[in-house]
Amino acid sequence: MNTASGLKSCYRLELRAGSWEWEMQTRTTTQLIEGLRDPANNEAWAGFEARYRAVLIGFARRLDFSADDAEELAQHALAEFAISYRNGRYERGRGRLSSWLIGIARNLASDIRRRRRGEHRAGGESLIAELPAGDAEDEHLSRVWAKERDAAILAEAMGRLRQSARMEEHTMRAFELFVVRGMPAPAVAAECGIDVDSVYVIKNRLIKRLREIVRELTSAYDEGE
Amino acid sequence: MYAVAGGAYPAIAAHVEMCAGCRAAAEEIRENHQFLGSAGRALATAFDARLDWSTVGGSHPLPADGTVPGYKLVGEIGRGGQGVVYKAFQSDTNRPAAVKMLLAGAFASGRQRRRFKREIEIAAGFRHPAIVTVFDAGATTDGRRFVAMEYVSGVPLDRFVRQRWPLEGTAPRERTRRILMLIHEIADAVGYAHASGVLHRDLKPSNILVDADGKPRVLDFGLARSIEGVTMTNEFAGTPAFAAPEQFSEELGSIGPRTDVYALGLILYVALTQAHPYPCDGAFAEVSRQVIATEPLPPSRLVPRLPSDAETIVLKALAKDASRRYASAAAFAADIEDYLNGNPISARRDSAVYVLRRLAFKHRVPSLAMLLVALTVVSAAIGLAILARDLDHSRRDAEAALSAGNIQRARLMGAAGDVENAESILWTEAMRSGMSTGESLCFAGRFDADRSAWSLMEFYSRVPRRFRARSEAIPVVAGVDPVNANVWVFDGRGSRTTWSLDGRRLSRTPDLIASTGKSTPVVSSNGRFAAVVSSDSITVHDLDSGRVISGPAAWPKSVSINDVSPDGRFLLSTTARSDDSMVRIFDAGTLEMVAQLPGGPRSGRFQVVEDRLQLLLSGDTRSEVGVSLCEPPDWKSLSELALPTAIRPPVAYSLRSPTRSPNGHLLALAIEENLALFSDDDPRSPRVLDGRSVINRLCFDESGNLLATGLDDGTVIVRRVPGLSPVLSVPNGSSTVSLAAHSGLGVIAVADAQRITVYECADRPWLERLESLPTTNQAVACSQDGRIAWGDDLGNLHIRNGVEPQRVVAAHAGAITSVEFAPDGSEILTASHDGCIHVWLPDGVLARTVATGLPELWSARYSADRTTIAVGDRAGKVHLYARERPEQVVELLGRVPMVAFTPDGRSLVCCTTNWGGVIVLDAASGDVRHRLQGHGKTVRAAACSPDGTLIVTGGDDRRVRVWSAESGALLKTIEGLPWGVFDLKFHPSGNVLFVVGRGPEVVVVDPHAGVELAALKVHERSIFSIAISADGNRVFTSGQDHWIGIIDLDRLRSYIRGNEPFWRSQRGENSGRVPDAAGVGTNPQFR
Repeated sequence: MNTASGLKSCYRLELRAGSWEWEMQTRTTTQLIEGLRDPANNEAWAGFEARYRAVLIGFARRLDFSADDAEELAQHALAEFAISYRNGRYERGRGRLSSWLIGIARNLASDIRRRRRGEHRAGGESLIAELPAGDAEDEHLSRVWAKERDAAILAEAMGRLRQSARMEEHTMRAFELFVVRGMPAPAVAAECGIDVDSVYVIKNRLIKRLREIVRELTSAYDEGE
Repeated sequence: MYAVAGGAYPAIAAHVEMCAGCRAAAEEIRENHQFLGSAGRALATAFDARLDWSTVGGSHPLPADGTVPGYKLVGEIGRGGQGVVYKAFQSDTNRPAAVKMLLAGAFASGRQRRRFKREIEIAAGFRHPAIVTVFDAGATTDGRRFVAMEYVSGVPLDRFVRQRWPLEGTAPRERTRRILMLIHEIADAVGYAHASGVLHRDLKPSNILVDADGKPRVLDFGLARSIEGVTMTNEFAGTPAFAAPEQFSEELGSIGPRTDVYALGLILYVALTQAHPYPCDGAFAEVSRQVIATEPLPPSRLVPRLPSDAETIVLKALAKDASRRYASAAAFAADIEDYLNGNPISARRDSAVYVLRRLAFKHRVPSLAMLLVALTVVSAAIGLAILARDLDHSRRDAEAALSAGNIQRARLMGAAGDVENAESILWTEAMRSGMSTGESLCFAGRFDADRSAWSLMEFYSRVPRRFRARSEAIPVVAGVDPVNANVWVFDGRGSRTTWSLDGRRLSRTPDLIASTGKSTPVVSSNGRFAAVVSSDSITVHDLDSGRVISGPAAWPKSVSINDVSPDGRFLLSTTARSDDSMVRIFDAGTLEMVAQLPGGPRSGRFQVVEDRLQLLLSGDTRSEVGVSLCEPPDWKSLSELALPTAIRPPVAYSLRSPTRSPNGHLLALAIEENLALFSDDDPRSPRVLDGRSVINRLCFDESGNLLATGLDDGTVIVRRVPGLSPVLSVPNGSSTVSLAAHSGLGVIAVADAQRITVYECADRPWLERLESLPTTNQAVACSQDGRIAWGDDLGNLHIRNGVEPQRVVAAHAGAITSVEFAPDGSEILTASHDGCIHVWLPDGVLARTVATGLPELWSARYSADRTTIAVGDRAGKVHLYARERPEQVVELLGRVPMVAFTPDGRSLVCCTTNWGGVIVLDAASGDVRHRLQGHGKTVRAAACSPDGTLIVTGGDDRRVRVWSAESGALLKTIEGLPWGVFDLKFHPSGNVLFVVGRGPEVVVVDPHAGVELAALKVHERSIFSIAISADGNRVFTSGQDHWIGIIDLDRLRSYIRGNEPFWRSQRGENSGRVPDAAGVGTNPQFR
């Protein structure tokens, strides 16, 4: 009961110095989920969202949703999971997190499709393509989900790679031009002011590092998913 | 490397085989290549996505110089849910700045980046003394977003209030005043931002700094809105305690300006009381539950001497239901200003009337019993409310409120089926309002009169009564004369009164029976011949000629006459006495008995079938022979119908009203509540319908295709034959005495104990259905000269020019979303999902293509002078095509469902999906004239009044808003629509507005009074488009139903005119009795 004697401390989720233990660590899914129990753990929510938002968007895009509708579906799916989790409907023992999220996403997709089929109106709704024949067998959806998850892991790994300390500017640039954009090594060397051998060394070194990060992230995702 | 070694460099290959280190390196390279191969194009995507979810936090050193282009960071100010804030200096000007580096995970999508950019641009344009100026926004060298703003030295609002005006030690009134002045400045700033299209969404004390001079500065406009977090926890990024209920649950409403109003209310509450209105510490779920469900503790409980008006302002801003809050921060600020200036505030506490009205609306068509209970409560509440208001308002205001309440109540009653009382109340109010049934009926421009008229239009749209007339004596038989299209009634005084179908009384024959007589007149079914039997004599009359056919002659008292044959030749006498079970037939001219038919107590009637006179006799359900048929001259039984065992009830019921169809193939009869229809083809298998009330009358129409039944409860039902599907069901109010249906004239005459009523014998006869292809029709239009065109989802354009056959043109490759005739009717403009804009000639030939290859198009309009075409598309662009000018494209926030020109063509109203924004553009330059904020959800429809003074908008929030076209000010909000709005159009008079949407009705609204007037049920599903004829007499609708509806308003108005004499005569009869306070007619329950 609030009293007039002073403002009771209200619930704040401001980040404070020293609470950034989540930063730059690869949290397993289990750890993320556990972290969600603590409503003060904004980082956990941020991590959860960052981990699965892109997967859900990609998942929806593969089901032929438009970009906007895919984002909307992702938004709703994560929000719905949040509600389910807070209400205790999701329990780790009941099934994999990925299955849960796929189920939510699939239901949302069906709802959107059904609603827009019935009220197809030029007011903001786009045509939603039918789900695959047989209405998305679990295996198909799981494959789609896995692909998107892999893509998200790769993206996250790439981000970490870029964040790696002590990486010189030209290193990432060379990697981008040679590996990502496919420029010839001599051209890359000239562009970055390094010799050609260094281009190859950079390539192999960063890909190796990238593989390690991907392995680490995959393990973290897998654990508890 | 293996490939190189294995192929062209055998020495290297051999070395690799032998050298473990090189072998390992080669293996690593191979794995790298495998990895690259499997990653494929995903690598480039991953590189560009930059999904970095944790780059903020911990003890970061200051970012290196040059990280934020144009700014030198000098120190960290603080950290929040969005990122880190640094103090900085602008490199060029050396002025201090605050730079907020945002979370790197934000703006993962192009859409978020574009939205952020646009909203920051808008926020950067803010020039308000209470808004922190945004200098710049962009990307750091390592790819994070930043916002640079003016540096403000101040303390958060809550700390300022606590220190400057502590609860103890400051006089409550003065303290309240100071705090409200501060909040007023903040609300003014928020309102300014709203007017520019930017929400804050994260207003809280820590986002408001107050400088040493006591000036507040609001931070972070455009940021919370732009940073689209995923979960609801992310949405308020750290302070769910200041979040509005709708931020926790979309079911509670959408986020919009009222969300910021809630936060302002909370900030004010905390400032006034130094406490939170409900517990806000604890788990997130608990906090959200408190916000959603717990009513705030009234601040006066914490600060006892808090002025009540201040408390009222706070509580209104904190209403859980967003629609109950101030509509905008500007309105909130205005009420604070009124308080500070000593003026009455607009906020009112929630009243019992409001609560009950909301309950009544929720249960709009309950069962009659429930309705009466609810209405009693509503009536009491209205009565109480009115009583209370009488203390404050003039008598005129009270009467107006009373009238409004009566009409609303009557509309509910009519919808629930209590039509008699509903009609009585509506007519009482109509006469009280001075409604005239002349040419301007419904469009008089006088609110009271038009409201009454439309309530009657709504009533008669359900109950198509052409007219009603009081009978001077109790009706005995009613009929419809097909020759002269008149309705007649033969009454108990032996007089036949005739009316035209529009309700004019034409004639009345002299009474055959003196008023003091105890005679009983019997008339033939066609109303031409009557027999009057007194205590001891009989006279037979020809009513057409006035001639006496026979009598007066002596007649035995014991012999009653039950029917006269339609040709006037015979009289029928039946009896139910146990000692006399004969049926007797007499010659009407000689009065001699010509036949005596044994067979037990029966009833009978003469009928003409295929020009042959027949007599139908029926017994009861115990009889072996249910119905028998005989003909002159010998009156022997021609056929007999035995009631099949399967439908024979266990008790004895009379078989009532045996009636044959005019062609003789069908026989209908009533067995209590059940209707049995026998066919000559299979008389042993009748079609039986179970009813809910005893059937006392049956009749076929003249074609034999319709069968009308009158029930004891007053309901009259007309059914198609032989399937018996209902065509019309009307509550007539009193038990039917006689029925006559004539489908050729389209009427059914119903006589009950008091009056004759004539109904249109069709379902919604005021509605014509134009059948279209079996697909949705999204747009309909009509020209000045009455031609109609509509577009369907298959891309077909349908054109109907008068009575010519309908043309169907394959016009587009996608759904047609917009159809419009040019103002002079010379061409038709269409726009479609296929991204094309075409112009067609009225005969369906393509005149020209305006554009192709655009995004999905939703709305295309001509300006009044036809010089400009405006089109809105799905990508948020408005395209303006004008003669002798290149195409102009205006980009708006959100998609553009509809555009509408003002009548002078100078402005273009554009609806958007950007939380309910409506943008008014200068049609020539594309500059923004007004931003109309208030809907909160997608706005799908806009229209301008014919005089150009009003703009009306409607959308998903189920509201219609009326704005001043000149100033953009919100004038009225019409709430309570049952569905989201898709389209709206003004009547040419400008006095009423027709609204359609996700429901089957057309809702009629008075935009000046801001009141709903009527709802006409037209379709069965959503209506997408509406058009009005130039003369305002016809309304066209299109939607999901695969047909175009054409409402004949004149027809509906004719019902009002036809029934007016009856109701005026009612009033005249009751002139000695002043209507009671509730204005109710006859129902004693409401006395």
